[in-house]
Amino acid sequence: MIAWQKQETAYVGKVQLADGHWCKVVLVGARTNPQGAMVVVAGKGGEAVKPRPFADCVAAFTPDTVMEVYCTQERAFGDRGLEPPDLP
Amino acid sequence: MNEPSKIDYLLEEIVTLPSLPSTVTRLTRLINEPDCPLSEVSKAISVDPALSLKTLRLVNSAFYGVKNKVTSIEQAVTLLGLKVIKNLVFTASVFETLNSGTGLFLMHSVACGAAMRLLVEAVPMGVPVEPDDAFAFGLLHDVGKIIFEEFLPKEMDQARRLAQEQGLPSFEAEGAVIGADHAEMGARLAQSWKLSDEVVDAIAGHHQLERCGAPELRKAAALLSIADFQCIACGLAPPPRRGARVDEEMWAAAGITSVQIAPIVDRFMDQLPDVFELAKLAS
Repeated sequence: MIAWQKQETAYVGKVQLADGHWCKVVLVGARTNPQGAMVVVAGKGGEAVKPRPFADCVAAFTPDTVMEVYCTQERAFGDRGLEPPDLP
Repeated sequence: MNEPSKIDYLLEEIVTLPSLPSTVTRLTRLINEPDCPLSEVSKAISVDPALSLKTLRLVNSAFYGVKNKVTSIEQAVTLLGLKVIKNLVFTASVFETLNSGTGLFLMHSVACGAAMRLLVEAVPMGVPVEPDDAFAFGLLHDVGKIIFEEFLPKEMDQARRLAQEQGLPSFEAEGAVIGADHAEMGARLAQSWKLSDEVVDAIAGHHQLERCGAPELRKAAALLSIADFQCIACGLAPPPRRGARVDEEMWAAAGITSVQIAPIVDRFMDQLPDVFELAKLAS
Protein backbone atom coordinates (compact mmCIF):
# COMPACT_ATOMS: atom_id res chain seq x y z
CA MET A 1 0.00 0.00 0.00
CA ILE A 2 1.02 3.65 -0.36
CA ALA A 3 3.20 4.99 2.48
CA TRP A 4 1.39 8.23 3.29
CA GLN A 5 3.12 11.07 5.12
CA LYS A 6 1.38 13.92 6.83
CA GLN A 7 2.57 17.41 5.89
CA GLU A 8 0.62 19.94 7.97
CA THR A 9 -3.00 19.14 7.04
CA ALA A 10 -2.16 17.37 3.77
CA TYR A 11 -1.32 13.71 3.15
CA VAL A 12 1.41 13.05 0.60
CA GLY A 13 2.18 9.69 -1.01
CA LYS A 14 4.81 8.64 -3.53
CA VAL A 15 2.91 6.63 -6.11
CA GLN A 16 3.87 4.63 -9.17
CA LEU A 17 2.01 5.29 -12.40
CA ALA A 18 0.81 2.39 -14.52
CA ASP A 19 3.71 3.06 -16.95
CA GLY A 20 6.26 2.64 -14.15
CA HIS A 21 7.07 6.34 -13.61
CA TRP A 22 6.68 7.88 -10.17
CA CYS A 23 4.74 10.90 -8.98
CA LYS A 24 3.36 12.35 -5.79
CA VAL A 25 -0.31 12.38 -4.87
CA VAL A 26 -1.24 15.16 -2.46
CA LEU A 27 -4.53 14.90 -0.57
CA VAL A 28 -5.78 18.27 0.65
CA GLY A 29 -9.56 17.96 0.80
CA ALA A 30 -12.67 15.81 0.45
CA ARG A 31 -13.82 13.96 -2.69
CA THR A 32 -16.46 16.65 -3.26
CA ASN A 33 -13.63 19.13 -3.90
CA PRO A 34 -12.33 18.55 -7.48
CA GLN A 35 -8.90 19.68 -6.28
CA GLY A 36 -9.00 17.64 -3.07
CA ALA A 37 -6.46 15.21 -4.54
CA MET A 38 -3.68 16.49 -6.79
CA VAL A 39 -0.97 14.77 -8.81
CA VAL A 40 2.53 16.23 -9.01
CA VAL A 41 4.86 14.77 -11.64
CA ALA A 42 8.53 15.74 -11.95
CA GLY A 43 9.37 17.33 -15.34
CA LYS A 44 12.22 16.20 -17.58
CA GLY A 45 14.77 18.40 -15.83
CA GLY A 46 13.56 17.24 -12.44
CA GLU A 47 11.45 20.37 -11.86
CA ALA A 48 7.84 19.89 -10.72
CA VAL A 49 5.27 20.50 -13.42
CA LYS A 50 1.89 22.06 -12.73
CA PRO A 51 -0.18 19.85 -10.39
CA ARG A 52 -3.25 18.23 -11.96
CA PRO A 53 -6.42 17.03 -10.27
CA PHE A 54 -6.16 13.30 -9.56
CA ALA A 55 -9.67 12.71 -10.93
CA ASP A 56 -8.51 13.98 -14.35
CA CYS A 57 -5.75 11.42 -14.69
CA VAL A 58 -7.03 8.21 -13.05
CA ALA A 59 -6.42 6.27 -16.29
CA ALA A 60 -2.67 6.76 -15.74
CA PHE A 61 -2.82 4.84 -12.44
CA THR A 62 -3.37 1.19 -11.60
CA PRO A 63 -6.86 0.38 -10.22
CA ASP A 64 -5.58 -0.41 -6.71
CA THR A 65 -3.83 2.97 -6.54
CA VAL A 66 -7.04 4.73 -7.57
CA MET A 67 -9.05 2.77 -5.01
CA GLU A 68 -6.54 3.46 -2.26
CA VAL A 69 -6.30 7.19 -3.04
CA TYR A 70 -10.08 7.62 -2.92
CA CYS A 71 -10.43 5.57 0.27
CA THR A 72 -7.57 7.42 1.96
CA GLN A 73 -9.10 10.74 0.94
CA GLU A 74 -12.33 9.69 2.65
CA ARG A 75 -10.41 8.63 5.76
CA ALA A 76 -8.52 11.93 5.88
CA PHE A 77 -11.24 14.41 4.98
CA GLY A 78 -14.57 12.57 4.83
CA ASP A 79 -17.32 12.54 7.44
CA ARG A 80 -18.26 8.87 7.40
CA GLY A 81 -16.52 7.90 10.62
CA LEU A 82 -13.51 6.11 9.15
CA GLU A 83 -10.27 6.18 11.10
CA PRO A 84 -7.47 8.51 9.86
CA PRO A 85 -5.01 7.18 7.28
CA ASP A 86 -2.25 4.81 8.45
CA LEU A 87 1.10 6.53 8.79
CA PRO A 88 4.44 4.66 8.84
CA MET B 1 3.43 -41.43 -2.90
CA ASN B 2 2.88 -37.68 -2.46
CA GLU B 3 3.48 -36.19 0.96
CA PRO B 4 0.30 -34.80 2.51
CA SER B 5 0.05 -31.01 2.15
CA LYS B 6 0.57 -28.80 5.18
CA ILE B 7 -3.14 -27.97 5.29
CA ASP B 8 -4.01 -31.69 5.39
CA TYR B 9 -1.48 -32.20 8.16
CA LEU B 10 -2.97 -29.31 10.18
CA LEU B 11 -6.49 -30.68 9.75
CA GLU B 12 -5.43 -34.17 10.77
CA GLU B 13 -3.21 -33.29 13.71
CA ILE B 14 -3.95 -29.82 15.09
CA VAL B 15 -7.16 -28.19 13.91
CA THR B 16 -10.74 -29.26 14.59
CA LEU B 17 -13.11 -27.40 12.31
CA PRO B 18 -16.26 -26.04 13.99
CA SER B 19 -19.51 -27.53 12.75
CA LEU B 20 -22.32 -25.42 11.40
CA PRO B 21 -25.22 -25.12 13.88
CA SER B 22 -27.75 -27.90 13.37
CA THR B 23 -30.51 -25.33 12.75
CA VAL B 24 -28.67 -24.03 9.69
CA THR B 25 -27.92 -27.50 8.40
CA ARG B 26 -31.57 -28.50 8.81
CA LEU B 27 -32.78 -25.29 7.21
CA THR B 28 -30.50 -25.68 4.20
CA ARG B 29 -31.77 -29.22 3.71
CA LEU B 30 -35.39 -28.07 3.99
CA ILE B 31 -34.99 -25.16 1.57
CA ASN B 32 -33.35 -27.39 -1.01
CA GLU B 33 -36.37 -29.71 -0.98
CA PRO B 34 -38.85 -29.10 -3.80
CA ASP B 35 -42.17 -27.57 -2.58
CA CYS B 36 -40.76 -26.83 0.85
CA PRO B 37 -43.60 -25.39 3.01
CA LEU B 38 -42.84 -21.95 4.50
CA SER B 39 -44.34 -23.02 7.85
CA GLU B 40 -41.72 -25.78 8.16
CA VAL B 41 -38.95 -23.26 7.54
CA SER B 42 -40.32 -20.91 10.21
CA LYS B 43 -40.52 -23.81 12.66
CA ALA B 44 -36.95 -24.88 11.90
CA ILE B 45 -35.64 -21.40 12.73
CA SER B 46 -37.91 -20.82 15.74
CA VAL B 47 -36.58 -23.87 17.63
CA ASP B 48 -33.35 -21.91 18.16
CA PRO B 49 -34.41 -18.77 20.11
CA ALA B 50 -31.00 -17.08 20.03
CA LEU B 51 -30.69 -17.55 16.28
CA SER B 52 -34.29 -16.39 15.78
CA LEU B 53 -33.61 -13.22 17.73
CA LYS B 54 -30.44 -12.45 15.83
CA THR B 55 -32.17 -13.16 12.52
CA LEU B 56 -34.98 -10.73 13.40
CA ARG B 57 -32.47 -8.05 14.39
CA LEU B 58 -30.73 -8.45 11.05
CA VAL B 59 -34.01 -8.42 9.07
CA ASN B 60 -34.85 -5.08 10.67
CA SER B 61 -31.45 -3.48 10.01
CA ALA B 62 -31.17 -0.77 7.36
CA PHE B 63 -28.85 -3.04 5.38
CA TYR B 64 -31.75 -5.29 4.36
CA GLY B 65 -34.02 -2.33 3.61
CA VAL B 66 -37.32 -3.75 4.93
CA LYS B 67 -39.66 -0.78 5.43
CA ASN B 68 -42.03 -2.06 8.15
CA LYS B 69 -40.76 -3.66 11.32
CA VAL B 70 -40.72 -7.45 11.17
CA THR B 71 -41.68 -8.99 14.50
CA SER B 72 -41.86 -12.72 13.85
CA ILE B 73 -39.92 -15.35 11.97
CA GLU B 74 -43.11 -16.36 10.12
CA GLN B 75 -43.51 -12.79 8.89
CA ALA B 76 -39.83 -12.62 7.89
CA VAL B 77 -40.07 -15.85 5.91
CA THR B 78 -43.22 -14.74 4.08
CA LEU B 79 -41.91 -11.25 3.40
CA LEU B 80 -38.37 -12.05 2.30
CA GLY B 81 -38.67 -15.48 0.72
CA LEU B 82 -36.70 -18.65 1.33
CA LYS B 83 -33.43 -17.68 -0.28
CA VAL B 84 -33.01 -14.40 1.60
CA ILE B 85 -34.05 -16.08 4.85
CA LYS B 86 -31.53 -18.86 4.35
CA ASN B 87 -28.79 -16.26 3.83
CA LEU B 88 -29.96 -14.28 6.86
CA VAL B 89 -29.98 -17.29 9.17
CA PHE B 90 -26.64 -18.33 7.81
CA THR B 91 -25.26 -14.82 8.39
CA ALA B 92 -26.61 -14.80 11.94
CA SER B 93 -24.98 -18.13 12.75
CA VAL B 94 -21.66 -17.18 11.13
CA PHE B 95 -21.64 -14.04 13.27
CA GLU B 96 -21.60 -16.33 16.30
CA THR B 97 -18.45 -17.95 14.91
CA LEU B 98 -16.83 -14.65 13.98
CA ASN B 99 -17.54 -13.25 17.42
CA SER B 100 -14.55 -15.16 18.65
CA GLY B 101 -12.47 -12.73 16.59
CA THR B 102 -11.82 -9.09 17.52
CA GLY B 103 -14.36 -6.32 16.94
CA LEU B 104 -12.38 -5.07 13.96
CA PHE B 105 -12.30 -8.57 12.48
CA LEU B 106 -16.08 -8.73 12.64
CA MET B 107 -16.31 -5.24 11.13
CA HIS B 108 -13.96 -6.29 8.33
CA SER B 109 -16.03 -9.38 7.56
CA VAL B 110 -19.31 -7.46 7.46
CA ALA B 111 -17.80 -4.59 5.44
CA CYS B 112 -16.30 -7.06 2.99
CA GLY B 113 -19.71 -8.74 2.63
CA ALA B 114 -21.27 -5.39 1.78
CA ALA B 115 -18.44 -4.46 -0.60
CA MET B 116 -18.71 -7.80 -2.37
CA ARG B 117 -22.47 -7.41 -2.76
CA LEU B 118 -22.00 -3.96 -4.31
CA LEU B 119 -19.28 -5.23 -6.66
CA VAL B 120 -21.46 -8.11 -7.84
CA GLU B 121 -24.26 -5.62 -8.50
CA ALA B 122 -21.88 -3.29 -10.36
CA VAL B 123 -19.95 -5.82 -12.43
CA PRO B 124 -21.75 -8.44 -14.52
CA MET B 125 -20.44 -11.64 -13.05
CA GLY B 126 -20.52 -14.22 -15.80
CA VAL B 127 -21.04 -16.75 -12.98
CA PRO B 128 -24.29 -17.48 -11.15
CA VAL B 129 -23.69 -15.44 -7.99
CA GLU B 130 -26.51 -13.21 -6.81
CA PRO B 131 -25.96 -10.10 -4.67
CA ASP B 132 -27.57 -11.70 -1.59
CA ASP B 133 -25.29 -14.72 -1.91
CA ALA B 134 -22.32 -12.44 -2.55
CA PHE B 135 -22.61 -11.04 0.98
CA ALA B 136 -21.75 -14.47 2.41
CA PHE B 137 -18.60 -14.60 0.25
CA GLY B 138 -17.29 -11.47 1.94
CA LEU B 139 -18.52 -12.47 5.36
CA LEU B 140 -16.59 -15.73 5.22
CA HIS B 141 -13.49 -14.82 3.20
CA ASP B 142 -11.17 -14.58 6.22
CA VAL B 143 -12.84 -17.20 8.44
CA GLY B 144 -9.67 -19.29 8.19
CA LYS B 145 -7.96 -16.65 10.35
CA ILE B 146 -10.37 -17.46 13.21
CA ILE B 147 -9.36 -21.10 13.01
CA PHE B 148 -5.66 -20.23 12.98
CA GLU B 149 -6.11 -17.81 15.91
CA GLU B 150 -7.78 -20.56 17.92
CA PHE B 151 -5.34 -23.38 17.22
CA LEU B 152 -2.09 -21.60 16.32
CA PRO B 153 -2.12 -18.30 18.26
CA LYS B 154 1.67 -18.00 18.64
CA GLU B 155 2.28 -18.67 14.97
CA MET B 156 -0.34 -16.08 14.05
CA ASP B 157 1.39 -13.51 16.28
CA GLN B 158 4.62 -14.32 14.51
CA ALA B 159 2.94 -14.02 11.09
CA ARG B 160 1.50 -10.61 12.02
CA ARG B 161 4.92 -9.37 13.11
CA LEU B 162 6.48 -10.64 9.89
CA ALA B 163 3.77 -8.99 7.78
CA GLN B 164 4.26 -5.69 9.59
CA GLU B 165 8.07 -5.73 9.48
CA GLN B 166 8.41 -6.81 5.87
CA GLY B 167 5.25 -5.27 4.42
CA LEU B 168 3.91 -8.67 3.36
CA PRO B 169 0.27 -9.50 2.75
CA SER B 170 -1.12 -11.60 5.61
CA PHE B 171 -1.48 -14.76 3.51
CA GLU B 172 2.21 -14.68 2.54
CA ALA B 173 3.31 -14.19 6.14
CA GLU B 174 1.06 -17.06 7.29
CA GLY B 175 2.47 -19.24 4.53
CA ALA B 176 6.01 -18.46 5.66
CA VAL B 177 5.30 -19.16 9.34
CA ILE B 178 2.58 -21.84 9.28
CA GLY B 179 3.09 -23.40 5.87
CA ALA B 180 -0.55 -22.78 4.93
CA ASP B 181 -2.71 -19.65 4.83
CA HIS B 182 -6.15 -18.51 5.93
CA ALA B 183 -7.58 -18.78 2.42
CA GLU B 184 -6.79 -22.50 2.26
CA MET B 185 -8.12 -23.06 5.76
CA GLY B 186 -11.27 -21.00 5.13
CA ALA B 187 -12.00 -22.95 1.95
CA ARG B 188 -11.69 -26.23 3.86
CA LEU B 189 -14.13 -24.94 6.47
CA ALA B 190 -16.60 -23.85 3.79
CA GLN B 191 -16.25 -27.28 2.22
CA SER B 192 -16.89 -29.02 5.53
CA TRP B 193 -20.03 -26.88 5.94
CA LYS B 194 -21.10 -28.11 2.48
CA LEU B 195 -21.31 -24.57 1.12
CA SER B 196 -21.51 -24.08 -2.64
CA ASP B 197 -18.48 -24.62 -4.90
CA GLU B 198 -18.67 -20.92 -5.75
CA VAL B 199 -18.09 -19.91 -2.11
CA VAL B 200 -15.38 -22.53 -1.55
CA ASP B 201 -13.49 -21.51 -4.69
CA ALA B 202 -13.81 -17.78 -4.09
CA ILE B 203 -12.46 -18.13 -0.55
CA ALA B 204 -9.64 -20.40 -1.74
CA GLY B 205 -8.67 -18.07 -4.58
CA HIS B 206 -9.14 -14.63 -3.07
CA HIS B 207 -5.37 -14.13 -2.81
CA GLN B 208 -4.25 -16.56 -5.52
CA LEU B 209 -6.54 -17.09 -8.47
CA GLU B 210 -4.87 -20.32 -9.53
CA ARG B 211 -6.41 -21.94 -6.45
CA CYS B 212 -9.87 -21.68 -8.00
CA GLY B 213 -10.86 -25.16 -9.08
CA ALA B 214 -13.13 -23.91 -11.85
CA PRO B 215 -11.75 -21.19 -14.17
CA GLU B 216 -15.21 -19.61 -14.51
CA LEU B 217 -15.18 -18.86 -10.78
CA ARG B 218 -12.03 -16.74 -10.99
CA LYS B 219 -14.06 -13.61 -11.48
CA ALA B 220 -15.84 -14.16 -8.15
CA ALA B 221 -12.51 -14.73 -6.39
CA ALA B 222 -11.05 -11.60 -8.03
CA LEU B 223 -14.04 -9.51 -6.94
CA LEU B 224 -13.66 -10.87 -3.42
CA SER B 225 -10.00 -9.84 -3.42
CA ILE B 226 -10.99 -6.33 -4.50
CA ALA B 227 -13.72 -6.11 -1.84
CA ASP B 228 -11.16 -7.19 0.76
CA PHE B 229 -8.65 -4.58 -0.43
CA GLN B 230 -11.26 -1.83 -0.43
CA CYS B 231 -12.09 -2.52 3.22
CA ILE B 232 -8.41 -2.57 4.15
CA ALA B 233 -7.83 0.72 2.30
CA CYS B 234 -10.70 2.18 4.34
CA GLY B 235 -9.04 1.07 7.58
CA LEU B 236 -11.84 -1.45 8.16
CA ALA B 237 -9.51 -4.36 8.90
CA PRO B 238 -7.27 -5.40 11.75
CA PRO B 239 -3.60 -4.42 11.31
CA PRO B 240 -1.11 -5.08 9.82
CA ARG B 241 -2.47 -3.59 6.61
CA ARG B 242 0.55 -2.21 4.78
CA GLY B 243 1.25 -5.33 2.71
CA ALA B 244 -2.26 -5.53 1.23
CA ARG B 245 -2.43 -5.50 -2.56
CA VAL B 246 -4.51 -6.63 -5.52
CA ASP B 247 -2.42 -8.06 -8.34
CA GLU B 248 -2.91 -6.94 -11.93
CA GLU B 249 -4.26 -10.38 -12.86
CA MET B 250 -7.03 -9.98 -10.25
CA TRP B 251 -8.17 -6.67 -11.75
CA ALA B 252 -8.06 -8.19 -15.22
CA ALA B 253 -10.09 -11.22 -14.08
CA ALA B 254 -12.63 -8.93 -12.40
CA GLY B 255 -12.87 -6.80 -15.53
CA ILE B 256 -12.46 -3.55 -13.58
CA THR B 257 -10.29 -0.70 -14.84
CA SER B 258 -9.03 2.46 -13.11
CA VAL B 259 -11.74 4.67 -14.58
CA GLN B 260 -14.48 2.46 -13.08
CA ILE B 261 -13.26 2.79 -9.50
CA ALA B 262 -14.82 6.12 -8.45
CA PRO B 263 -18.49 4.99 -8.52
CA ILE B 264 -17.53 1.70 -6.83
CA VAL B 265 -15.90 3.60 -3.96
CA ASP B 266 -18.79 6.08 -3.76
CA ARG B 267 -21.42 3.33 -3.47
CA PHE B 268 -19.42 1.64 -0.74
CA MET B 269 -19.02 4.90 1.21
CA ASP B 270 -22.78 5.52 0.95
CA GLN B 271 -23.39 2.06 2.41
CA LEU B 272 -21.08 2.57 5.40
CA PRO B 273 -23.75 3.66 7.94
CA ASP B 274 -25.66 0.41 7.24
CA VAL B 275 -22.43 -1.58 7.52
CA PHE B 276 -21.63 -0.03 10.90
CA GLU B 277 -25.16 -0.83 12.12
CA LEU B 278 -24.97 -4.41 10.89
CA ALA B 279 -21.59 -4.98 12.54
CA LYS B 280 -22.99 -3.58 15.80
CA LEU B 281 -26.01 -5.89 15.62
CA ALA B 282 -23.73 -8.82 14.90
CA SER B 283 -21.54 -8.31 17.95
